[in-house]
Amino acid sequence: MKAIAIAQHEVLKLFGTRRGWISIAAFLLVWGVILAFIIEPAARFLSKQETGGLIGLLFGENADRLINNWATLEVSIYWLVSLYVLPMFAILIAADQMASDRTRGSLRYLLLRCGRLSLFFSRFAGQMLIMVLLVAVTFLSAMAMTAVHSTDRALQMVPDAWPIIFNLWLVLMPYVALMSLLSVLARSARQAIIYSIIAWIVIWLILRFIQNRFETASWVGVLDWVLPGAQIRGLLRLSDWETLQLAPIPIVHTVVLLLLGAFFMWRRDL
Amino acid sequence: MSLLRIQQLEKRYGSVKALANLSLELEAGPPVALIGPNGAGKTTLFSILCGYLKPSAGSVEVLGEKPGSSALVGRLSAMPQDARMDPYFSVGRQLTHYARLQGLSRREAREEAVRVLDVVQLPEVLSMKPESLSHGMRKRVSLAQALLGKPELVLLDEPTAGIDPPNVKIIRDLVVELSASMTFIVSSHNLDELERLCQTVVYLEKGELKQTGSVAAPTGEHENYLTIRLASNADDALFAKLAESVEGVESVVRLAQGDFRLQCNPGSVVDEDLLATLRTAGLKYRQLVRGRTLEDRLYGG
Repeated sequence: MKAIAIAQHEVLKLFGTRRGWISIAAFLLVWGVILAFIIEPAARFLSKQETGGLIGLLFGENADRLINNWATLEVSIYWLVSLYVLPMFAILIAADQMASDRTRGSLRYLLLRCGRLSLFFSRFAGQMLIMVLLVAVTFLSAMAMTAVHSTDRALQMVPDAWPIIFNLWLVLMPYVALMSLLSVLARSARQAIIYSIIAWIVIWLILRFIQNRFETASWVGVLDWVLPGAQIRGLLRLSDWETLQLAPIPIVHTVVLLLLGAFFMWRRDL
Repeated sequence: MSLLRIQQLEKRYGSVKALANLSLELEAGPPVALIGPNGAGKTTLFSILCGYLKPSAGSVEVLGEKPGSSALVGRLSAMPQDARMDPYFSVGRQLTHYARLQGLSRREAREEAVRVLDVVQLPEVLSMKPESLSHGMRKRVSLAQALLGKPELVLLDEPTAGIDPPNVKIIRDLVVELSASMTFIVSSHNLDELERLCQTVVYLEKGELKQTGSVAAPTGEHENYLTIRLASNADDALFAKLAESVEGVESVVRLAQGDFRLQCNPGSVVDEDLLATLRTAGLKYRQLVRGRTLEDRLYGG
């Protein structure tokens, strides 16, 4: 019950406060721009093209699969764009799970009433609830946009909704877990976001260095899977529920990041 | 019942020792004062008791449990010194949330939020945001959150620091009123206030426990002292001369804050003679205290 109350409060932070609604409005504006100026025109443009030529140039070897794997072109483009754009939204939205509360001292009021780990994991759960809503809203908006031109095509998108929403939710999970970890270490949401950028670049550089240094080693390929989002390129080749083949990767990332976050949450002076 | 059992407690921040070799046992009962200069380790001690900080060494038990234990939820509460509520939610919503985390149903939690705001005489702030409240009101709201669910032990860290006299009085009166049903440990620099509120004093200095004792009715060597505060226009020199002439008075010392400390012969009763002498000389006084004031005992030498 305590975990539910904490997760609910986390959702309420977004949907029950003025600051939350400003964030939602900003998100909807940006997503509206993406929808109107990227997804919709791209789908229209691609529908008039052969899968070779320009499309091949844009999407390389994945072009055919990307176009044909999903029921409509709109879904394909939505899938492509969401895989790369939604993680950024997730990082922004989930950045303040602990930092502000810790700096303000309100975390101390909470810790009188619940354990550190309970708070940590429940807030992560709350953020994942928000992510479901976020993904669902973006998919529904893509459907609505398609319905403007063709109701039939919009209806064809319905069966794709579940695998896409579930997969995107899985994709976002390690990013939210990363922000759970970083917001324990940071003093503000902004600092947590900066930490995420620094961590990303530094880890990527280290991985590249190791890969170049030990180019021929048999284990070096494993490093391709270290960073969250490593499975995204692979997902572009898959469709429907076969996309779950790569589900263990974000789950492992999430578990590792949450364990690290829980360790720091447990150890830190708060 | 054992309130606190602390043994060989140590807390280090890098190379700095905030608490060193602190051992202390307290029983439930009247309010306890935690005193010490800035940097003495009072807030650190409170933070360890609440589970916000981990001790570097030693053992701590609060109400028989380890700090941070789920068994302390609803039994231990605190008013942390500089903690502020979330500015984006109303006071009522946050108090309700805290009460729910203590295991109350949604309806009960809402009623509990209303109750504690009534206790601190701020029912009107239920739907207000914390940022729209004055500093004194925020302190009282913070006290309200500490009273949710009627805890057994409440730690108040500088509850009246930086607030105006009316708010100080409300908080002080509440502590007196509620101390029959819960034990308060109050940290403050206001020794007059602590003297009025508390029965036991714990004195920390540089992270070490310097003394513990009673601030209630003077006993032992303190019985041989009187402390008097004269009216502002009284003649100090004349008073000293007259007081020394009262039978049973051994010495008269003017304290730094303007009070006079009279040391009397053991067993002698001098207060009536002293007051009669002052009346005859036309000297007015504001306060006569049996024993030494807390400030005098701690810092008067």
